[in-house]
Amino acid sequence: MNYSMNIPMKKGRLILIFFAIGFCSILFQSCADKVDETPSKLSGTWHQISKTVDGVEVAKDSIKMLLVIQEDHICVLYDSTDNSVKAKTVVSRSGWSYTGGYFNLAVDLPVAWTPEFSSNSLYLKKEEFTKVGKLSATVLHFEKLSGTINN
Amino acid sequence: MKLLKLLLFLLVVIFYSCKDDTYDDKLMVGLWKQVSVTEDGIPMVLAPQQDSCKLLIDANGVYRLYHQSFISFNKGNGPTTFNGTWSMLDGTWVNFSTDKWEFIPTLSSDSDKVQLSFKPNTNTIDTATTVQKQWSLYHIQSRFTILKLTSTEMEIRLKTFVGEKKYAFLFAPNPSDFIELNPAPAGKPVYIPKLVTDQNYWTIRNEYRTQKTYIFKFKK
Repeated sequence: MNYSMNIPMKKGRLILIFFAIGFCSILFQSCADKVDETPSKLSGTWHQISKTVDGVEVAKDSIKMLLVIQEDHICVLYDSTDNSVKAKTVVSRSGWSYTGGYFNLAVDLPVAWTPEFSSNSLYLKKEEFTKVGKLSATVLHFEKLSGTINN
Repeated sequence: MKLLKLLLFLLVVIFYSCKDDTYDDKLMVGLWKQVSVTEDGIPMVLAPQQDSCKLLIDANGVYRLYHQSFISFNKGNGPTTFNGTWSMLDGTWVNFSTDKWEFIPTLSSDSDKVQLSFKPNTNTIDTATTVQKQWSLYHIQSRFTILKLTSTEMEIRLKTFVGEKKYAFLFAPNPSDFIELNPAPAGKPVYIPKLVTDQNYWTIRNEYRTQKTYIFKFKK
């Protein structure tokens, strides 16, 4: 008699244990951070297409600017214009990181960039105070080049 | 039954470990305008240059500070943007790294007079040389207690010495407490706290011995 009564009790406990495990896993998943794919999307060789300040197009930093963002957190800027060749500043290396939604380029700190992607384009936006205390937004537009450049 | 009770207890513990009743650091991020500063509960009268103070807090731990305290320096092209880092601690405190100046003037051993540097063969004080021997710039963390933090308002409190507040970027200093360093040595800022003389030495010394409570209010 006792033996037959124990079977439904054990079943009930098992169901409760499975329910508890399922509940715990849902709770843990809700606490865990979602994986941000931005760092992997940033990797690659990018060519500067345009530069705007508060929506107005201004002269680019260079007509031949390449931004190579490597997965090992090294970023290489290539500027192959004649001026850079003469000044021997064609290649400038820098470290990069992605924290809090910002693309931090060591040569540009403390100002960091907010990256946005659109098909084959990368838009880097930064905001800075003007002399009168208003915020001014600079946006750099890059297009991804196929292949990679080794340095 | 004991197993069931233990499981229920664990569930409650896990649920409360996920629940957070402290301030969320995401609320700090954004552009803030300083609206008031109180000293021991009394509103401080701010110079117009201090009144322009704004704080741009980025999510990557960097903040940028805007004020016009030194705008008249360098022929009207003085610096207006300053940088530092921030971090929230236990959802209760916020650390801002700030520029501060240490008060290090020397007194002559025989007469207790403030030692000054003079221009060659004159009785004229060489202000630029003297102030650089009287103040030392350093960058440290200041820990504020968060009193209020919403999507539109931020109220933070700091207990510190009057001198630590006056001769620091907390957040916009009073222009009357600083002078232009002209010419500024290479790599050094064009601003520095005022010249220390026999007339103001003990006043400043006492400012570094008087502790007060400051509350800074910001609006988004």
